Amino acid sequence: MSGEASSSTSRDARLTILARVRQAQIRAHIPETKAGLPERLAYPPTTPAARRARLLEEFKILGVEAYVEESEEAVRLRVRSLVTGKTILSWDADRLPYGIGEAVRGEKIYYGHDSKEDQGQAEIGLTGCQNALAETGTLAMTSGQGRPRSASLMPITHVVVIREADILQGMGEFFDGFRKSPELPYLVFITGPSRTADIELSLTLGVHGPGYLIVVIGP
Amino acid sequence: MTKPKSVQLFHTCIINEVYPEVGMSVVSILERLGITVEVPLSQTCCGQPAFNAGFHADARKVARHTLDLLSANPAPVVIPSGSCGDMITHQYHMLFADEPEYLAKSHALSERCYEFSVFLVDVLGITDIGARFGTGAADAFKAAYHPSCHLLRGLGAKTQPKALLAGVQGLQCADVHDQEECCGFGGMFSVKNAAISSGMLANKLRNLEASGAKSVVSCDMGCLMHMAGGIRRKGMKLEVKHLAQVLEEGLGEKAEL
Amino acid sequence: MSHFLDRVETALKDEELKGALDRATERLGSRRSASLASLENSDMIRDMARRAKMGLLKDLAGNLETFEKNLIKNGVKVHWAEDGKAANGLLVDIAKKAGCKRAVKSKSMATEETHLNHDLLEADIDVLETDLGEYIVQLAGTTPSHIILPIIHMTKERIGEVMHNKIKVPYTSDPEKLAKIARVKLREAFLSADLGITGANFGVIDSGTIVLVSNEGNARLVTTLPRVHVVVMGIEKLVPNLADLDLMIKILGRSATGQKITTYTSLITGPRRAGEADGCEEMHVILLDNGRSRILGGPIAEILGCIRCGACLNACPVYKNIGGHAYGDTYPGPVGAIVTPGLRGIKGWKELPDASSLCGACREVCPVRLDIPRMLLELRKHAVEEAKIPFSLRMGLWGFGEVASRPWLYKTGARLGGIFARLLAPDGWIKKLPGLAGGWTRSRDMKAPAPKSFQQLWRERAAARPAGKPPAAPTPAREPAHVR
Ligand code: SF4
Repeated sequence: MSGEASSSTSRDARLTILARVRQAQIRAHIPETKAGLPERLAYPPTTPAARRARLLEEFKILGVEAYVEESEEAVRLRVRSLVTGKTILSWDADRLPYGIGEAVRGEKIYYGHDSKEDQGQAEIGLTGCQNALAETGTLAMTSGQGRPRSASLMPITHVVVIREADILQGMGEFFDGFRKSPELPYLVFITGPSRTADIELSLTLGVHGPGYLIVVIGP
Repeated sequence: MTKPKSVQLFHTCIINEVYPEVGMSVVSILERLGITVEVPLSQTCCGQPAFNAGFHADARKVARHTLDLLSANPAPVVIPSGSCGDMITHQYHMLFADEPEYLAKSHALSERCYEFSVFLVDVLGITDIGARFGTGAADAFKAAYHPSCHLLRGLGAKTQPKALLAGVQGLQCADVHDQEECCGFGGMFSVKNAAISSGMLANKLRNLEASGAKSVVSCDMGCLMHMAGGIRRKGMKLEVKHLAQVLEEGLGEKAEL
Repeated sequence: MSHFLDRVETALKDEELKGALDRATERLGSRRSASLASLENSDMIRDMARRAKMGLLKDLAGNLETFEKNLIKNGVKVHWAEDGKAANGLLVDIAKKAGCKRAVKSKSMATEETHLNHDLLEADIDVLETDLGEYIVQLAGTTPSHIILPIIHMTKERIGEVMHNKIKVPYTSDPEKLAKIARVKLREAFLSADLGITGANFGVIDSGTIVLVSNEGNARLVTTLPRVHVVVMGIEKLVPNLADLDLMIKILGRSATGQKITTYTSLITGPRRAGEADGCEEMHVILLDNGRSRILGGPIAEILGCIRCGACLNACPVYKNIGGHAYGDTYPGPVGAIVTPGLRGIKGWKELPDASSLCGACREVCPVRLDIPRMLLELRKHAVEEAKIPFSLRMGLWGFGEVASRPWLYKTGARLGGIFARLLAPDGWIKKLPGLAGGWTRSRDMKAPAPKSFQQLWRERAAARPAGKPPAAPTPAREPAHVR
């Protein structure tokens, strides 16, 4: 039955572990922590312009290529120029903002329902994004129907389009949006290109995820 | 708080047995500042060696003796060691966690226990006692301060010794790479884990040498004895001094260094 | 297994290791302090994170039940394992039932702890580590030596050799090229894998969410491409809610690598939903005890608040000298010196808590302010109680407690020792000490006790001075400039 402890050994283990933990926590020596701390972290209010500026600043540090476009048309042109001639792995057209889906029609495009192998051929991932978090230069992406996770993950380049109005200050503010409905979608916070410093601390980009992250901010 | 007229000196084992002259320097500085120094003669050890090795029952015997002795006199206690100071003011609480009577005693005593530099700066409000070396910047006495771990992180005394050194004219504090890193002493650690301890000491001495300092100054003779032993073995030209010695020398005729 | 002190000697002889450790710990350490300095209210955030972690331990059982309930609600199958063997067994069962033959793994300490790979291979399930460092560790047939940088101990040349020998690619020592090779090789594996195995950086109790952080993106691939995803996590890896998760994320990346946030933070709340094109179809969580409930009941319960950032390793002068392998188990450095004896029992591991000068650098950098030195002292005490040896015997000091609580006995002993020591050291320094104390003279001379103790000098001074008269204060060399 779905959602139950799978085997009888695991069921026994559950009871044993919970009993042990219960016993242990009675006599556990848990140190006191500092008193007088706030219940939760406060986010002082900011202006949209300040958030955008901070986001761009963080992008620069992270090596994210960023474009700020003044009109919807400019966003479409920008995205076109970025993806033309490449094989694309895209969110469904109706899930992309600014009519970008229409704008890239005619290119070689794979979608989430295509085979993994086909998706693996794509050179560029094209997605929208729920929110951007200014203070860390982070993109908060949820996935769902027509918004596959693979598009922001498998191709070596990831092009993201966001609306300026969707720039929040930080993760706390983003999470506040889920306070009423604890039902979380699959979520990933992306901050800069994929990186590793495992080999003698030398920074290498794109070891598993995209090595190039390009963000287009629209009105 | 009102400035005390007298203090009890907890001189620590290592000063008593190996570096008695440091104890005399501490007394000399305190007396110069108008403090009457009392030395409870039946003091022994704070118990840290046993405590750190895990032998709490043994450590408690010694600690009870120390607590009884120092509590009997209402005068503040001055301890010329960050490590013994940390033991008495903090670790006794852990040691007596299950012994309410001595736990209360240790809490009460820790309220009036001060490491030497902390006593001067925080209690007496002094950072400049008028010490001086040489005649001008050209012949400044270059000293490297070594913040002993238990003074720095145990007692949280980061600024006091530095302030006192800054108050000495003609003394230049050398920049030391990884200054706050442990010298590798750690009491029994230096013997039980001699190989690791030696590696740590080698790093420390390399950094001290590179700093160009003439002396290493600290507030713990344990660390200084450890470094001195390494300095001697390596044939390096570096002196070790307790802060009280530096202050005394800067005050007196011994000022030509 | 070899003895701790032998492993230490081996490590200390390794000049290459020393160089690598110096570079890495220094770099990570300075990045950590810089990035924490740039975080507003970082001290308060650390205190709040500590409060969250300590708070949930007070009713860990209740919290586990809530977490389980929420996982189940999200469609996750929950399993419980008393020890490593049981966890591995559950995993093999899950794989067999789902018909999985090829597993990909992202870096997970819990499965290192249970030696999962060995049991999977034994059950004929292929398993590949996908974190670049762990992949190379697996190819080389060794173990990781740092929580964050598994191959901190290897040079790029050695890595090039391993890749060349094990996967037959042309030799190169260029890190960029090596990473590219790994990307291609591992991408093939991802596409054909049917089982993804991960640990969990956090489990969010009130949403039933598994949180994974990674810089490379391999954790995302492991949880996105294979059909089945199994999480193996210690029962302590919880946070109450998303607001607390925010605190943890703020300090984890900064403490670990000096990044404001790790590149990818995934929040996985159940398997793929209706209409979704990817994500696993079947998701399992194995909750692992393996000694944690015992830790909770003792004086080192606090260590269960560890978020495995590795900052204490980079700050530790002992770790910097000996590296991770000397610690002999999954968790190296100061955290390992607590966790290993905690999980495995003090017997056989008592050298770890002893191998510390108690300098406190770990406590200073720990993002959740764990008092590691205190816990080391607790473990030392525990080791003594277990072994039942009197301190006096171990130290070669007869009846320390008895003697040092009796002033006259103590002083006589010390003076006699001093006389003896000075015989060995006509110039005041001893070059070679016998027995255990010989460790000291391995690299240091030992200063012999002074001919006259401080108390002798003090009494002589008192005798030479008329009673009641305070000593005249000599005039200072100059006027004090500042007396507050
Ligand atoms: S003990 Fe603290 S510093 Fe060390 S890994 Fe755990 S959380 Fe990080």
